[in-house]
This record gives sequence, C-alpha cells and structure tokens, in this order.
Amino acid sequence: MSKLTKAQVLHVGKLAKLSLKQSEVEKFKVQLTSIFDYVDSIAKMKTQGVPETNQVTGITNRFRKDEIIRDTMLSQKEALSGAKKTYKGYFVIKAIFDK
Amino acid sequence: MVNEYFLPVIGLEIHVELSTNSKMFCACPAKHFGIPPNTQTCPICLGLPGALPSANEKAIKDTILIGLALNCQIARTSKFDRKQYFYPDLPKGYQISQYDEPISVNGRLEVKSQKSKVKDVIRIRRVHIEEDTGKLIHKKVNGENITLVDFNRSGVPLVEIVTEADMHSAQEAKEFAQRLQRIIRYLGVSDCDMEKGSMRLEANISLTKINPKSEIRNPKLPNYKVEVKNINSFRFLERAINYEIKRQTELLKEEVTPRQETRGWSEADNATIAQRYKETEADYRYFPEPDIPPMEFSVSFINKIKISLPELPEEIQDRLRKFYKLPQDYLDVLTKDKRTLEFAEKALKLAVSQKVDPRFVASAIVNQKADLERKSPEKFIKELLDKKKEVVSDEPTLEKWVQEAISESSQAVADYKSGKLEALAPVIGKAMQLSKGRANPVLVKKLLESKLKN
Amino acid sequence: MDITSLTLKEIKEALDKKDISSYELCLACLKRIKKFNKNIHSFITVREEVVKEAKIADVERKKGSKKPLLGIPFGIKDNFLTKGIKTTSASHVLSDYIPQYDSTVVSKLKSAGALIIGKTNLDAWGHGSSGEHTDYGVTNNPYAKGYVTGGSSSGSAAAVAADFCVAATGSDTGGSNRQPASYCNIVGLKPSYGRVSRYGVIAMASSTDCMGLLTKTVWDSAYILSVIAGYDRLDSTSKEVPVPDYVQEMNKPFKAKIGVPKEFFDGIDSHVSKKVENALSILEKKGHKLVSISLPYVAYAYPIYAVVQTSEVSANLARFDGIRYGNGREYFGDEAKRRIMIGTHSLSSGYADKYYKQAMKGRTLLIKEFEKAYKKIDLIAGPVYPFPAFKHGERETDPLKMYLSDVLTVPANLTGHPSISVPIEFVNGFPTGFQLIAPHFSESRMFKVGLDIEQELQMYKVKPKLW
Repeated sequence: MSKLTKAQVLHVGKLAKLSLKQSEVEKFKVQLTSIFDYVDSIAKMKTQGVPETNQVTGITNRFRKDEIIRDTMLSQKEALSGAKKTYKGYFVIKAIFDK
Repeated sequence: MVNEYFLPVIGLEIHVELSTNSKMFCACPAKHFGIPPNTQTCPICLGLPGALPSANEKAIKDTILIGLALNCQIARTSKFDRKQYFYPDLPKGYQISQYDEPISVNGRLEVKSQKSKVKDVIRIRRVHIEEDTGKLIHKKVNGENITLVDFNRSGVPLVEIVTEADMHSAQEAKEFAQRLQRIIRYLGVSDCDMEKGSMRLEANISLTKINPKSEIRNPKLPNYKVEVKNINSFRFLERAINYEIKRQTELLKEEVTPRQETRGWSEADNATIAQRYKETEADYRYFPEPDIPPMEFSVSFINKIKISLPELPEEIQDRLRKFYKLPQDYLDVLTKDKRTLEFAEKALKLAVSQKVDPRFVASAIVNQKADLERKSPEKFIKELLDKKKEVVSDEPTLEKWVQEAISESSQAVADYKSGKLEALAPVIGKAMQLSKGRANPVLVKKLLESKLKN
Repeated sequence: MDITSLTLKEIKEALDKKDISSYELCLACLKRIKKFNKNIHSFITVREEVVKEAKIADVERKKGSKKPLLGIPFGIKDNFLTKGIKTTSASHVLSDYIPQYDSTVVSKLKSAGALIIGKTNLDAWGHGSSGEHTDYGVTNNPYAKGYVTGGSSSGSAAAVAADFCVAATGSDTGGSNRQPASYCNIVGLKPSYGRVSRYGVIAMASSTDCMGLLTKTVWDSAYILSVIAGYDRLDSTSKEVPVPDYVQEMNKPFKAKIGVPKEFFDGIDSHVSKKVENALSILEKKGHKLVSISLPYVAYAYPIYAVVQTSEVSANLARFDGIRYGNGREYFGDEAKRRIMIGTHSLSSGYADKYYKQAMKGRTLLIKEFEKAYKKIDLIAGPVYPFPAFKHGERETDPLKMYLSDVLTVPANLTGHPSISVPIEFVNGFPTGFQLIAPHFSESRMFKVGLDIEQELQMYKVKPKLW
C-alpha cells in the first residue's frame, strides 16, 4: 500500500511545474493514493529477466539525411505568431538570472 | 608546497557543436552564428504541439568518429532518452539526449603533465550526442529587466564529452582541452571555437589528501565535487581551476569540506562565484525517447567510419618531427589547423626538393602570419629564397630592430614573460616588419629569446 | 432525401451521378449543425467558409478531378493541428492557439479534396473516456440526452452520429476512437501503431497514440484509411508498409478463426455480454470459427497502461509553458494535472524502477501473450466497454472508476495492434459496440469481419432523434 504524503504531492507538483494550490493538495493526495494503490498490482508480474518494451514498431536505425529543407521552416513572423510577448524578433519572458 | 598534501582531482565536461548542414532532429540550418533571431526554426525545434523529431545521420556518424579518435569503444546498440527539466530555452520541457546507452564509452587521450614531463592518460568516460537549447539574452527595456529568447540554436547537434577526474593541474586540463580541440578540428566535424560557443567547457574540481610519497595514479576520489561553469576560454579555464584549488585548499586546511555546488567563473571578479544553491540534485526522470527508434551499429558500419578517420595531429607531428627535425613549438603552430598543415606539408616537401633547410621554411611559415590562403606554397618558397639572398644576419643590425620591436610590443612582451609562449610571434613579426622583411628570422627569434629571458 | 444521413459511399455515388453537389451537402450539414449542435456540443469551432470551399470543389469535379474525398465535409478532432484554424485540444491552455502548420493526416485529407467543416470536441488532451473533461461544454450523446458519448474523441463521434459531417478524425491512445463509436452507434477505427502518421497531432502517449477515424460504416472507414495511411518522413515511428486498397481487400472472401478471451468477459455488465455473444453467433453463422482463448496478462493491461501513458503524458505536456504559444500551466484542468503527476511520480528518482521499468517489462509480457495467441487465431473479439453509457457526472467524481472504462481497449494500444468498434444491438436503448483486434497491419481482416456484422444487423440505419 503506497500512501502518498502531502510532501510527495507537493514535490511532484514542483517537478512538473504545476504550482498546486494548498487547497488542491489534499484532494490530489487522496486521488493519487487510490490510483497508485490500484497500480501497485503490477508488482505481482513476474518480470525477472524480461526486457523492457518502449516501442512496438520494431524499427531500428531510422535516420534522416543531413540536408536543409526549407519547406517545413517557419518565418520569423510565423514562429512568433503564438506568443503573447515579443520584442524585436525575440520571445520575451520575465527576467531570469542564473542557470 | 601545500599541494603535497592536497592533490587536485579535475574532470572536464566538454560540449561541441557539430558543423552539420541541418539540426539534430529537424532539417533547419545548423549554422546560427550571427543570424537574426527566430528565423531558423520549424515546428520541431520550436517545440510546437504535435511536432516529432527525426535523427540526423551525419551527426550520429560524426559522434562515432569523435569516439574513435578518442580511442573509445563504440556501442553496438544505442538510443536516445528524454532528459526532463523546465527552462525557457528548452522548448519541449525536455532535451533529447542519451542516458544509459551512449554512442561511445571508455576512451583515452594522453597529455603531458608539466610537472612530470611524462604523459598522463586521461580517461574519457563517454561521448554522446544530444540537442542544443535556445539562447537567452538579458536586457533592460524601458527600465524593466526582461529576458529574450532566440530558438535559432535550439536543436543544433551537440556532442558531450565527459572525462574521468584524471587531471591534476590547471595546465594539464588546459592542454587536454587544447588537444581535444585540435583533434576535433582535424576531424572536420566542428570549428570547435570557444569564442563562437561551438566549444564549451565545464570543470569539476576537488582536492584529495594524498601521501606525498605515494603513487598518483587513480587516487581515492574525495567525497565532494565543485562544478565550475561559464568558462569561455582556455585562459579562464586555467585561472578558474587555479582559483578553485586555492579556495578549496584554504577550506580543507581549516578542516572544512568544500560544499558540493555549482560555481560560475566571473571575469570581472577574477574568481569563481557560488551560484544559487540547490538543496537537491535535479531529477531528470530519464526515459527512452519513444519518438525515435533505437540504433544498432554493425561492425561493418563502424569500420567504414573507422577507415575515414584522418591522420590526427599527434601522428602528424610525430611524422614531421622525425622527417624534418622540427622543434615542438613549430610543430604546434604548423598543425594548428588543417589548412596551415596542408600548406606546410607542401612547402616542406618543396624545400627538401630545392635543397632548402626545412627548418628555415617552417620558421618563415610560423613567423609570417602570411596570407597562406592566397599564396601558393611554390610562390612562398620562391619569395623566401629571393629574400634570403638579401637576408641580414649581422648581430648589431639585428639588435637595433629587435630592441625597437621590444619597446613597441610591451603587451606581447609582458604576456611572453608571464608564460604565454605564443606571444613571441608578434614581436618577431614586428622586428621583421621594421627590417622590411630582410632580417634572418631564426636569428631574430634567438636574439629575442635571450633578451627576454629575465 | 436528407443528404446528411448518407454514408460516404452513398454520397460519392450521388456526387458522381450529379444527384447532389458538395455545396448542397455542406450547406445541409451546416444547417443541421446550427440547429442541433448547441445541445450536442460536438464542435468547438465551426467553419462557415466550408460552403465556399465546397463550391470550388464542385467546379473541380466538373473539370474531371478524381480526388477521392473531393468536397466531403470532415470533422477534425481538435487535437489535430490545422494551419490557420484555431486548435485548442479542448483546453483553456490553448484557447487562442492558431497553428502554423497542418498535421500530416489533415494535409493528406486536404490533398484528397476533403473539406474541414469544424474542429470537434474532446476530453482535453485526450484525457478521458467519457467526453466530460472538456473546457468547451460537455458533449451530449445524440442517442441519449444527458448521457456521455464516451471519449476522448467525443465530439467526432457525436458529430458523425448526428450527421453533422460525413466522417471525422480521431486519435486513439487507450480506446478513444473505439469507445465513443461504441456509445454512439458508429464505427471507430484504431489502425496499427505506425500505420498513420502522428505528426502534427498533439501528443498524448507517444508509444500508443494512433490516428484513426469515426465513420458511419465499415466501408467508409476502409476507404478513408487508404487515404490517410502511409509512411511519413516526419514521423520516425511510421512504418514503411505499403498501403493496400482496403476496400478491395475487405471484399475478398475470408473466414476467420476468432479468439474470444475469457478475461474480456470478467466483470462485464451481463446485458452487454449478451449482445456481444449474439454478435459472435452471427459471425459463426456466417462461417467464422469461434475459439475460446485465455489472455491472463489482460488483467494487468490497465495498470501497465496507467503508468506508461501518464509517464509519456507528463513529458509531452511539458512544452506547454505559455512562452511560445498558449497560456500558462495554471490553465491545466484537474484531469491533466492528475495524469501529469501520476506520470511524474512514476518516472521520479526512487520510483522509476518500481513503476515505469516494471510497467515496460509487463508490456513485453502482454505483447508476447497476444503474439502467441495470433499463431492460432486470426482475430480477437470482445466488448468495448464493460458497461453501457452512463449519465454525465456519474463516474467523474472518482477518477479510478472512470479509468476502469478503458480495461478492454488499452491492450491493443499497448501491443500496437489495430482494433475496431462496430455497432451491434443496443443495450436498454443505448448503442453498444463490438471490438475486433487484429495482428499488426492486418486491418483488412477487421474490416471484413466487421462488415459481416454490419450487413446482418444494419445498425447504421438507426438514427438518433436529435433535440
């Protein structure tokens, strides 16, 4: 039984950049706990030595030739067209200082 | 004296922008230096909803080539993974990179340690391929601080090279980085230019206590590591590492373990500055990239690339050294890039066939920042021989020019005296200029070296 | 004759015979939308320009154009990007997003002459099995007022069922085409993974998302699949398998060995299983053979899917930060937030082995089980939903209860096999679907057998009474 704590919910919310409101945390804690409770059944599967599947196509080595294709490129105007704030061809965000 | 007890343990993480035609996962142009913002994007590199990546074959082959040049094992199977974190220059909210199946692992590169004059083997942990992020520019507009984002660079192929912490001095680290740069330029896969940002360095520095009499090989790694970023030149690399060694030594002498953190080199402060401290290490939640099929490299595929490996700078230097008996500092300049080397090889061959001393020709190439692009090697030799007939070699006359050159090149002289050996070249050039090209360059160099010895 | 009630096949014949024009058809559809859509909420965006475009299509036809879908009005699910036409994914995050490019499926439809009559409603981001998780008004089931349509391709299914358009696109990640088709008495197709390009459709779970169709009949589905299927250089997971003429293939004689997994009937509403069994008897009478099989890993399919899908969702929704398009992340609804958090937790340090890795290994076991079964049988059959259509709000309060609607449909998403929902007899007045699953790239088998059911039951003749 994997009961999630409030701290865990807040941590996950932070990792996912969701800025959860305090009022939501309790609700999500309950819902997520119930879901993971159910999901925990996967532990019963006998998966020793079983390889992981993350793609079902069986394709390997799908490569693209190193050439420029202009058809699919966007003009500066198109690239910026969805943004709320732009400045002289750039996207604009609030100032950030460190990486 | 202090370093007898604390041995610096240094590793480097190098990022190299490949000079492919197109980006890593889309067909936009990869060359982005000096291009107007956001004019080279498409749904894929802009991270628009619904866009999907497709992998650049040449970039993958270039990464294998770099791995081979660094004596790595090339993986038989490899794949891409998503590295997840949020940052405004990362349009998808994850970077397509490689996690547990990188293209190359376990390589090595030798460098000379200034102390021991013996070659040190620096192990390469891994070489992998990933995509670059966009660029952030901080600006003040109408009194307000804002950050501008340009995605032209987003998606450019980036090779990441990680070394083990096998370097033990700033000089060694610098030499490693320079060697690596030269090799990559020789491969022709990147212009590897720190000023343009196509080569980026990060260093991890820590100090480990050792018994001064014991073996240096594979010392026990300390329980902390300081990462230093924002290093924009080899000179800053040396300074940053030396600063860190000093800073950490002082802490350790007080029995304080330096904090595990990321610091940035500040040119203005001539120091490393602590960046905002993060309590927990980033959780990148890596998982295999579902949009790109995995890769399998057959032995024949890898061999084809192996065959295309050009002769690398060290091998070339060995050859030239043996054949033409050229000194190391000449070799370093002649092999600094492919173009100079091609010119030099042709000129040296001609020199031998015309019974001219190859060292004379080499010296001329090194000292004249000659327009090697527009002059053919044949023309160059002819002009040299013509000039040789009027070469001035008597000491008093040379003294005059040399003295004047020294007084007119105070910065270069100061640099040379502080250890930057390559700063001698412009002073030689100045003397040659004053002599209207008639001075014997070999003698000029000898005279300068003896005069500036103090 | 109410031309909006015609199937694609019938419309094409009528257009060829010059009995009707695209202009008339689109006008009639628009009229119907104007009259009834306010109660159905199947469209987020309606395009009146389609009528002008229809006129142009008619001129083209006169000049001899043989484009396969010339002048046919389509509904496009609002998670498919359409250049210049607002695309919201039914979320406030993209309330004002106008895409700068077309998804490949839309491009192909346009090249085939199809017209876009509107963008259809959905569970935002594809997150849902009922159609209730939309920010643009919950879609009503045209056959049952106050009841869900099923999801996530809720608007597409309702629009086709209500004859607002001739056909619609849908995306099926865990059952999203088959489920609403099942509750709305139409045909819902999930092709093989890699059969149809995903490029330009807002990604939900990258390794299970399949672009497909909501149509009135099996013929319609097969015909349009031939148009949208095929390798796309922009989608590295699209397969280079040639696209057959599915209609031609469908008409070839074929008697199938149909596997009926006992696990597909565990805990199913008895009325639903009765209708499914009736359908199976029909197939037996038509000469197909029924084989009892067991697929024990089906019991784990939903929890595996819950981990895999939400993990990929958490990464795929990370690009929505409001900088280059759309609004900030605070506009995500609860369902999206929930799935992002489940996925983030499943991938996070200390939990990734227990959840993500374990789920991926389980996926391998499930696939092995299906592949083994296909050695002895040609198709797998069963119900689509474990229960009939439910009232709005009935399952919404308990997310887990809602998720369990998907248990029968997710296996085909995890294996990548093609699957289809074909209408069978109603259960207590509610439309019900019958599910077929085929081996990779064997869509024709499903069309063939589905056609047998359709020809016998003729459910496409039962039209909803709109209000």
